[in-house]
Amino acid sequence: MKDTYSDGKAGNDSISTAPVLELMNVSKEYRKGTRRLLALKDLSLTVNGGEFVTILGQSGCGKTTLLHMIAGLEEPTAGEIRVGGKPIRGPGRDRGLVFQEPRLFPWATVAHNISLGLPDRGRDQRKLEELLELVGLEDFAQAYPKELSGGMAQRAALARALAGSPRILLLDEPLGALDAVTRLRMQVQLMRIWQENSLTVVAVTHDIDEAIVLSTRIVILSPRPGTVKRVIPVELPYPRNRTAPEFNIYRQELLGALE
Amino acid sequence: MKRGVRGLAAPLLIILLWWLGAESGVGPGILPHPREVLAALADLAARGELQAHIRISLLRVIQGFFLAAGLAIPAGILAAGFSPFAEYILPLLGFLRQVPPVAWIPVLIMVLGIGEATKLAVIAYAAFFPIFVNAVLGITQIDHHFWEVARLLEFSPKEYLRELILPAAAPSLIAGLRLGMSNSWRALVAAEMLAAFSGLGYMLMAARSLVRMDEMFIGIAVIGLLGLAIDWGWKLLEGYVLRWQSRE
Ligand SMILES: Nc1ncnc2c1ncn2[C@@H]1O[C@H](COP(=O)(O)OP(=O)(O)OP(=O)(O)O)[C@@H](O)[C@H]1O
Ligand SMILES: [Mg+2]
Repeated sequence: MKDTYSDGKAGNDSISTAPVLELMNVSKEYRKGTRRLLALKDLSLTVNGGEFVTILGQSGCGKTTLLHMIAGLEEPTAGEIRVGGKPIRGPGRDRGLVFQEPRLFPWATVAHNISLGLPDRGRDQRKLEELLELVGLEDFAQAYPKELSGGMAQRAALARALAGSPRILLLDEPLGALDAVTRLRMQVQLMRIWQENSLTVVAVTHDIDEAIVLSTRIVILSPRPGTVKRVIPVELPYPRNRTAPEFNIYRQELLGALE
Repeated sequence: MKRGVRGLAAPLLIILLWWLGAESGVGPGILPHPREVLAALADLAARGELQAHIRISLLRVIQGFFLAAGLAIPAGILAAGFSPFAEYILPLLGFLRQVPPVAWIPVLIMVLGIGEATKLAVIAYAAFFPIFVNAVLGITQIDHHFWEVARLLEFSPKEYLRELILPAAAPSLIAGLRLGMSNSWRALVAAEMLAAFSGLGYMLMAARSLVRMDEMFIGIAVIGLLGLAIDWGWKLLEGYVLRWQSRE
């Protein structure tokens, strides 16, 4: 493995100060008949290229809504979202999203599901095989989603999101449903994929340790309506040691901020 | 397997009772002896008459069924996609659904004559509604989560159809096609009894006018068995196409 894990502050070689993603005073209101629900209010955030930003916040504070808006599935009711300086218009290949659930098509094999993420839909088999290998599902290429474990399904969903070679990877609690051991292993894989592909990642998690292990910055959202409450840069070298005293300091800080 | 064997018990029992009844001379003249029926069957088959009727009936049902499917599936996709469309035509369809296919036969004979067109229309009519209704249901019930995936992956219209709509609605579509086929088989026999000079339905009517009870029995048995065989075919196809579904 390359030495990027231990080169100081940031984990990604290609970290830059050019903003790749800008959220400017973004609000989202859901309307159902006369009922209105303000999910996000006046949220601003700038993410630079190569960053790993993790969003933390209570259930229902609008984290999924936020990722779906960045992905282009939902439109903000106010404010603007820019990717690479340009306002987004709907979904695009520059952004890949892993949903909170795997959302694989149950009627399609793993290989077919992943190929649907490829721009050429898998006509070039090599790219597909690379992706299968990346997430360790070579032996399950022809399996149907019902034959996969939760972790395998999430890995297939990750491969599908990576298939379009996005600049920004959006992860909605991708490890939420996994057991502790699989989860740790997936964290390592995620780190590797992030570093080797100079990706910019915006992830959602409920796991404080996971946020500290992975992130260059942690954004804490306040509940109802969701807005940025605090931003905490994590200034620890990679790979991060969960038993180090500094790790504990971040833990305390985050717990306090989430109160 | 065991269940399939059990299912044979009732038909075998009926045949046995029939045989015993015929041997002991119950209802001679009305009920033919099974031996006579078998002899008539051999005779019909030897003359190639039975095969000819079967061939023409199957051909008609296949033509009518494909006509119905070719209209009902695109119409179902349209109706599912544009809710105003559904609002405009659902009351009409509700009315038509109450009119059994046979009821149209006199009207169709007046308009189309006793030719193939009448039979085709009746068969297609019988198959149309289950296929259409199931197509609409199957498509409108697709999980909106999957539509989001399709938008995210920037599907082309063709991909929406091939990768999402048809496979996601497949369980419902196949159920509709299967039911439609079984409806059209039944409608076909009715149509052939009233407006045909060939086919299994005609064979039944011809046997009646010649008072050939044995041939009527053959007609009924063949109609039922072929219908069953077609339905088994659908079951096999269903199992194959829906192999991705989890077994409960
Ligand atoms: N399509 C929708 N229509 C109406 N309200 C919605 C919709 N989607 C989300 N909401 C509401 O917006 C709020 C934020 O939802 P969201 O799913 O973004 O929360 P979350 O932070 O991802 O929660 P969790 O951690 O449980 O996944 C919730 O109150 C939810 O009820
Ligand atoms: Mg969520």
